[in-house]
Amino acid sequence: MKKLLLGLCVLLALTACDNKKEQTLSKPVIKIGVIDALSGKYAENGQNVRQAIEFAKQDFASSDIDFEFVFEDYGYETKRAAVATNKLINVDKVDALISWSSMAGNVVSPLADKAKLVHFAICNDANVAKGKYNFTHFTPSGPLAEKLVKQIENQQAKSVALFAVYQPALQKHTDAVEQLLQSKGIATERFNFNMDSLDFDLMLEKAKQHNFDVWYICALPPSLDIFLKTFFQKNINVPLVAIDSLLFAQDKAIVEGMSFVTTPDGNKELLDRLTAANGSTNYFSVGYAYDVASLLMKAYSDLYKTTGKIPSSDEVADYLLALKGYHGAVGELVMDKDGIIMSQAVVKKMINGIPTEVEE
Amino acid sequence: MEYLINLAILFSIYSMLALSLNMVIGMSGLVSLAQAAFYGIGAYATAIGMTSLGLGFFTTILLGIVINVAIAFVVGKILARFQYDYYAIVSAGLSVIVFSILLNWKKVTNGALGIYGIGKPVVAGYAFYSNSAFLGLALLFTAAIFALYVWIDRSSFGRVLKALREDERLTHVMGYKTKYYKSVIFVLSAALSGIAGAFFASYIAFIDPTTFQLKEGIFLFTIIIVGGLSSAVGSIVGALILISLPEVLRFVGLPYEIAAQLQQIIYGALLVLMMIFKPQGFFGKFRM
Repeated sequence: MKKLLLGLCVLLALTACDNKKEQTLSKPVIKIGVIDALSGKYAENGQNVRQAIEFAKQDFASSDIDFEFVFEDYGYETKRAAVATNKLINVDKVDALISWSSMAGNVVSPLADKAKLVHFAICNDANVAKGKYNFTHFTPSGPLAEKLVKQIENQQAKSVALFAVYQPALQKHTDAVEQLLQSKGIATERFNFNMDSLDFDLMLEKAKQHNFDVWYICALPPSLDIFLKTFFQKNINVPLVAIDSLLFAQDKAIVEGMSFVTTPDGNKELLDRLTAANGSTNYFSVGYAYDVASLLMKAYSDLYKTTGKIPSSDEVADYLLALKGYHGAVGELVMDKDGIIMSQAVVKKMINGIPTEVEE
Repeated sequence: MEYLINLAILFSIYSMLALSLNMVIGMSGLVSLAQAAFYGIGAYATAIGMTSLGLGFFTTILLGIVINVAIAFVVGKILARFQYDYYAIVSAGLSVIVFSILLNWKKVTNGALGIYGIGKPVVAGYAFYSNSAFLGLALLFTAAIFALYVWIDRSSFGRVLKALREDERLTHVMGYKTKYYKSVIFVLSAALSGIAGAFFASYIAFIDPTTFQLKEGIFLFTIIIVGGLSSAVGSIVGALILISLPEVLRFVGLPYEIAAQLQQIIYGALLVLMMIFKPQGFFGKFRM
């Protein structure tokens, strides 16, 4: 037993202290660490994010710098996100960080600030962008809510039932929708539920009695699919609107023909490549991941060309803060003064099981 | 080195949790799955206390202990009526209730969005900002909880708990108020879990309810099973194995496409093997 423990400690110490192979390449290498949910319930999204970053690396033509991406899984758990980030900073000695999801972003943000490393989070939580080195890229709740409320107003609705799962990003979307609806004099009632809720019978019956003009859903599987099935089984003859959610419906047939407000995925070429690479049509976050990796590589590359030396984190942060009119995979990107990239919401329709962007 | 220090902090926090859980399960034979709830309450007491109320870290530890003791006192009275699997089910219920409160009581806990910007401990003007200083403090508390465990284990109180574990009815017949003993150890364990929660919140600087779900209680349960029931050393060893094993697997060098999934499979397989060859855990003195 003692030998086993000793062995485990020695192995851990050796691996942690292991210096990476000496660089024999003449070109400088910039390492970018990625904290991604490669296992667990969001693994499909996480793997697609990884693939998009790999594509960005393949597409970025730099003759001056070699870019290396080091991926670490955090399985959508805070403690693992903290350990993965520490490994990337202290063992892999990365030059910059990318994280995926608000949860990971919140964990990585203070660590990146402490280590003075540029951190780009693929999330829409403004708290994550606090500090000089932290940036976020994901369509914020504001533009999504505005587009959705416009749809609701077009339906002359006077009252809306808001069904939302307890998930950070989706709660933020729903908060924004609720505030905007109330500011326009439209009555709302909120129905929140847990991620693992599997029975909506009573909740939907209760909402049905109030005769809301429009129902809104913001959820994730498995509760989303059960909500949708219950909704259609009950023949609730009320327009159902959504932010993001329908993208994740497992049974695409049930939502065929429905439109919803969501974030842009990225250009068609990128999405086709992704589907060809791993057969997935779940494009959530893909375009943002591609943009974030491309932007970081562009920042390092441009600054290196100008100064002839590897730029510091401060220089990269200043460069990113000055970003204007960059055409990314999800459209025209503008960085605000807080390090948050603003991008627009889009309307999509489920056509033949594939979320397809449509004109409003 | 810094990475190892970070791992050691996490190991220290989980050692505190494992020791406190082993007092209930190992020492007393009460299968509690409520540990994640008390861990979460401790973490939220620190998070809310430091970010909203402007309290110091150590004051928030006390706050967490007080809340946990109050809740555990009431719940412990109810739990004392149960044994074996019934005890597990009822304690799991507490975990689910606390998780739901953390999610739903948005005004206080900020719901699913969690609480960020949780500070580090400060003692007489000295801030534990560096990881090594924070580790020192965490180890100090772990050592204190370890010592408390050993002291209880050797005390007459501990002997009654062990008797209760072996045969509750017989212990009762011998004149011991078994419900009292069960309640006291449950309350003590809850208080100690709150300390671990405070350290976790301060270390990560961000918490949300997903960390304190029932599955975290099951993870803690696994730690003490692997390390060994009714053993203070076993609790430490179990935490060391379950915290460090997934990290060791990060260095195996698998292709990114399959690395995360394979690491999970290897991790699971190693746990199965450990249980086959060491069914009593590494330092287990008692088998359920």
